[in-house]
Amino acid sequence: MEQVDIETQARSVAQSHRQNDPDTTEVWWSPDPALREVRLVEVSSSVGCTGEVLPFRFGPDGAAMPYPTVVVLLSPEEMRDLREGTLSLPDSWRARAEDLRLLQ
Amino acid sequence: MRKTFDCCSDAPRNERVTRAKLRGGIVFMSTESVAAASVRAPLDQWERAFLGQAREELEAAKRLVAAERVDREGATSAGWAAVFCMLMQMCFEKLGKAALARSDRDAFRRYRHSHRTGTRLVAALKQMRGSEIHFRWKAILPLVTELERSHPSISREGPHLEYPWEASDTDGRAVVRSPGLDLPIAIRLASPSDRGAIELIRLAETILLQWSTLW
Repeated sequence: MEQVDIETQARSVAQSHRQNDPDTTEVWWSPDPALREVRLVEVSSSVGCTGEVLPFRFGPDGAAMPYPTVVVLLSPEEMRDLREGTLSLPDSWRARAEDLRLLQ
Repeated sequence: MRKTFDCCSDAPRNERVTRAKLRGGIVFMSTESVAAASVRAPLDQWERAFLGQAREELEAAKRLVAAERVDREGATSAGWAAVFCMLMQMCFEKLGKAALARSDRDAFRRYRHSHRTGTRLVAALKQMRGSEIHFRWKAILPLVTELERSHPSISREGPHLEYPWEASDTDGRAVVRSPGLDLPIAIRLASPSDRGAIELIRLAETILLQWSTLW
C-alpha cells in the first residue's frame, strides 16, 4: 500500500476535525521542513479562551496516518493574539503565524 | 425563579437528592448513595485543596500530551492516552468536589469520596445561561461521563482505567486486557482524527480560569 504523503494526512485530519466540530472556522498547516510530523493550528468558536498554546501530540495511526500529528486548538481571540504576536507557536516549530498555510 | 434540572431523572424517587448551587440558581443534583464523610475543617480550605489537586492533575495531563514520545517496540498511542484518561478523570472529579465544597457542606460530606462528581459539574455547567463557558456540550459531556464510568471502582470487572482486567478472547479463553491497549475511550482519544482529548483539556482549563465567576 502506498504511503500517504504528509500534506494528505494534514488535510485528512483537518477534515475529520471540521466534521466533528462545525464551529471550526479555520485550520492552518505549518509544514514541517523535516517532514517528520503534521502540524496543525485549528480555530474553533466552541472552545473557551485559555491564553495558552498547547501542542497536543498524537502518534501515528495506521497506514492512513503514518506521521505523528500535532494539533494546537485555539479560540478566535487566541488566533488574533497569535497573529498580533502576543501568543506564539511552539518553539520547536520555528514558525510564525505568517508562515501558516490555510487548509481549505 | 430558581432554575433547576435533574441529571439523574431515572433515580428512584425516595433517594435523597443533594443540590449544589451554581450562578443563576443552577443546581447540580445527585442521588448517588454514599456514606457521608466527616468534615470538620472549613469548606473553603477543602475547596482550595481540591482545586489545587485538579490543577496539578491537569498540568500533568498537559505535559503528557505535549511530550515528544520515542517510538519503542510495543508502544501504542493508546498507551499514553490511557494515562491521560486517568488524569482527566481525576481532574474532573476534583473539580466537582471543589464545587460541592464551595456550595453545600452536606453535599460535600456525602460526596467527598465519590468518583462521580465530574459529570455532575459538567452537566450543571451545560445548563448555565449567561456563562462565558461555551463548549460542544453534546460531544464533551459523554466523554466526561465515559471517563467516570471507566473508574476502576465503578467498572470493577473492566474495561477500566489504571489497572489491567480479565476478559475472554473470541475462543472463550481468559486473557488479560490492559488500559493502554484495550480501553475503548483511550483508543478513541488517541486517534488524531478525534479532537475530544484536546477539548477535555480546554474545558478543565476554562473551568479553573473562570472558577470565581461561576458562582
